[in-house]
Amino acid sequence: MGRTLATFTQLVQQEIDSWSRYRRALRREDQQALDVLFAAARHHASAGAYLARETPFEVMLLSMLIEQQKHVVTLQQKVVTLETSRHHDSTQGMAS
Amino acid sequence: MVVWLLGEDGRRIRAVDPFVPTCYLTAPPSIREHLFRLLRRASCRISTREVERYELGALRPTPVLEVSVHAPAQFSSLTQHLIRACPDAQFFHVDVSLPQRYFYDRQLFPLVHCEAALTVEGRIQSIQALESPWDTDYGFPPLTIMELSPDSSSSNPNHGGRDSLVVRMDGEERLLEGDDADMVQRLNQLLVRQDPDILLTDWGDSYLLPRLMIMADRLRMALALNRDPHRSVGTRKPHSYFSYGRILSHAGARTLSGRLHLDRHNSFALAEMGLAGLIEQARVAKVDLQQMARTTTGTGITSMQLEIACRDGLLIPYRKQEPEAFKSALELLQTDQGGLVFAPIVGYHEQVGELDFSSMYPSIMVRFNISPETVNCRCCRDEPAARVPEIGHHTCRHRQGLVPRTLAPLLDKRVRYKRLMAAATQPAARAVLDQRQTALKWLLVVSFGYLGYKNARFGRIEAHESVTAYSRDLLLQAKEVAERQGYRMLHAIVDSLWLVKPGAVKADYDRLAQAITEQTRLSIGVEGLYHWIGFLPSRVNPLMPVPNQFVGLFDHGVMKIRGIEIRRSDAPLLVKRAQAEVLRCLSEARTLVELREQIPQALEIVRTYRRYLHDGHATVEELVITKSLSKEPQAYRHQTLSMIAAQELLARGMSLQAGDTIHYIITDADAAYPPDRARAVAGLDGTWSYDVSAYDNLLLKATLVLLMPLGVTATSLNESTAGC
Repeated sequence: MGRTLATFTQLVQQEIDSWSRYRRALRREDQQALDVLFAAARHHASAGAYLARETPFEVMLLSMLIEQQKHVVTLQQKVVTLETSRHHDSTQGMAS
Repeated sequence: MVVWLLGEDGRRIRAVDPFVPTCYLTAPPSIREHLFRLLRRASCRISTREVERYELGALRPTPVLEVSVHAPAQFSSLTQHLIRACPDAQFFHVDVSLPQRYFYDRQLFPLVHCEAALTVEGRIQSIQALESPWDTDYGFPPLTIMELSPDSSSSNPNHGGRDSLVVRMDGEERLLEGDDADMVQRLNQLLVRQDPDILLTDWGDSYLLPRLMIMADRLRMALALNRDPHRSVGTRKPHSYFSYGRILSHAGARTLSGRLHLDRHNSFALAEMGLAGLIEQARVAKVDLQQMARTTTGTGITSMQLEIACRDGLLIPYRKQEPEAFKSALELLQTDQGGLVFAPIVGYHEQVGELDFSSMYPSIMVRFNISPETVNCRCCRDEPAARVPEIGHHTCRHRQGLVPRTLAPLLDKRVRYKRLMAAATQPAARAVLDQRQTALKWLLVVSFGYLGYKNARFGRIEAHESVTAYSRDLLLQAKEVAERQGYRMLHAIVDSLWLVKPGAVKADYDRLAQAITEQTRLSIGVEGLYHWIGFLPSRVNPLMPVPNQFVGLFDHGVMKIRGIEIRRSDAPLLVKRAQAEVLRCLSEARTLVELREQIPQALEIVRTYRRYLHDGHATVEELVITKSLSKEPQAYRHQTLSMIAAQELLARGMSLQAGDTIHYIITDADAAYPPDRARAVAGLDGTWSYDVSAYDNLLLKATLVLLMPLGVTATSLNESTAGC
């Protein structure tokens, strides 16, 4: 059975293809970052399909932001942990 | 056609070759009767015949009338008359200079070593070249040179009169002084006695020759500037023209018969590539030396294309008219791009390699057969291999185009010169080879511009677009090969890439160049390895990178500098000197760590310069700012400093026009009364002072741009170097 509408994963792939010349003219490190972003869009394909909006690129952008936000939170937590342990180290250093 | 020959016995011979130039035309039947009547009435012998000829890229021949003019001297006036009288006819071959057509027809070129059979009256019965213009081992012809200059050749004599003349020949120098009659008489004696082949002058076109001719005329004295007594001196009026967004002026010309007049101050070719380069261009382009010296390089490349067209029997249209085909907005967006430019990664980097495609654009034209008649040909529309990347054009796979045929031998000859240069042991021989390869480089450089220029004989915008499309694809291919091998691309402009990989040495970069050449089939080479190179930030926004603005230290000790004050003609000398000293200080470093260690010393240099400025020691020479007027001085709407200086000069009665150069000094940039802000150098008297803080600002900006990527901020630079 064929489908009338493309699946969201197909839409992401179409979007990726439409950016291929843009991607080609990026440095390799920037290409890698772009790939990670589109991977995030694909990661939330089921939510995108469920929403079924007529401008799917918006949905993809928001999916990318979700993954970015999760990264920021993870990094913040790491910073807090590191600062706490350093503070702990330095106060111990003074005591000895 | 008058041909001057230098015999092996040293005689200079004026020979005449019975050359019959032809032109072609097509005319609607209604005006043919009128046309033939005009031809019958011509004052010289004319013969006609009906023939078929091809236009460039045409599949079917055009029936045309061939008109042969048996008196070359009348060819130009006759054809101009026909063009005016028959606006409905189409003309071909009418506006190619006759000496060029003579060279094409007889397979000769300027200064060729040749063999000729003459009658006693000096008529040429036969003449053949004994060498090819593509030979690299030709010698310098034994021509005698007389140099002629005003007694001080340093500045333009048109801006102030001088009355004596310096004549140099065979290492002997004579100063001609005295009244006009004396001067004309003594110069004439020298010309007759020495009979030089070349008259090499300073300001001969705009000043010396016109003045001498007027003097001789007024005094009714003989002045044998020409070797050929039957001809008068050729004269062309000065004119202004617009090129690459700038207004430039072209001095007039005085050309001689039987002798060559070359003006050092009115020749792009002489200035850029010397006499050896000029001769090289004249030989391959088949353009008379006096014209080649004064014309643009484009005339040379056009002549080479015309020769091939003539040899192929193609029609050369008078006033080309070929509009671009229509394009959609998206097509325009995709096709109307130039070469690719990547923003550099700002900062200093070590162990960087630079790779350059050699003669990228001409090589693309040859390799992919790009020419006005091969782009979007009818025969190869459906061949995938003929397709130009990104854009919808294709190029012909079956017939080699006119442009590639012109460029291929040039590229090949330049490679041979470069090889000879590398093998040359004597500096003098090397210098000549360098001038010759530079001459060819210029022909190659302009060839691309003529592919898309709407007035070019053989230009077509689609051909131009195809070249840039290929160039973008090739640069990206090069980047991809480099990145696959673990290199990081720091910067790339059109045909050059700056790459880095930890631990990579010269051999690695050579291997990379080899790999890219294999993949793209276009030659790329290692321009050099840098100990370090700094890509500098924008002055306006420190976070913004600027393409083609960098300083780098090659591993052989030479610095490569682009886009900063030291390279700019408008920056004050003091600022340039400070920048040069900071750079010299940085060039002591070999690594990034050493570069940072140089910072205190660099700051000390800035401090010294600031103190010098604050103490009021700076001289006019060190402070002068040079700007060119981009429009008529009356047309400026804002009170810019150069405009204020221009107004001051106008008030002093000097005449100024767009394109003129203004020299001024900033006296008080913030003054409420605009004339106090700047002063023209020409009007400076004893009572002037400079604006310390304005120059201090320029100094700080010029040095900050070098130091900022090393962690120095505007504030820290200002504070750490303020100690007066």
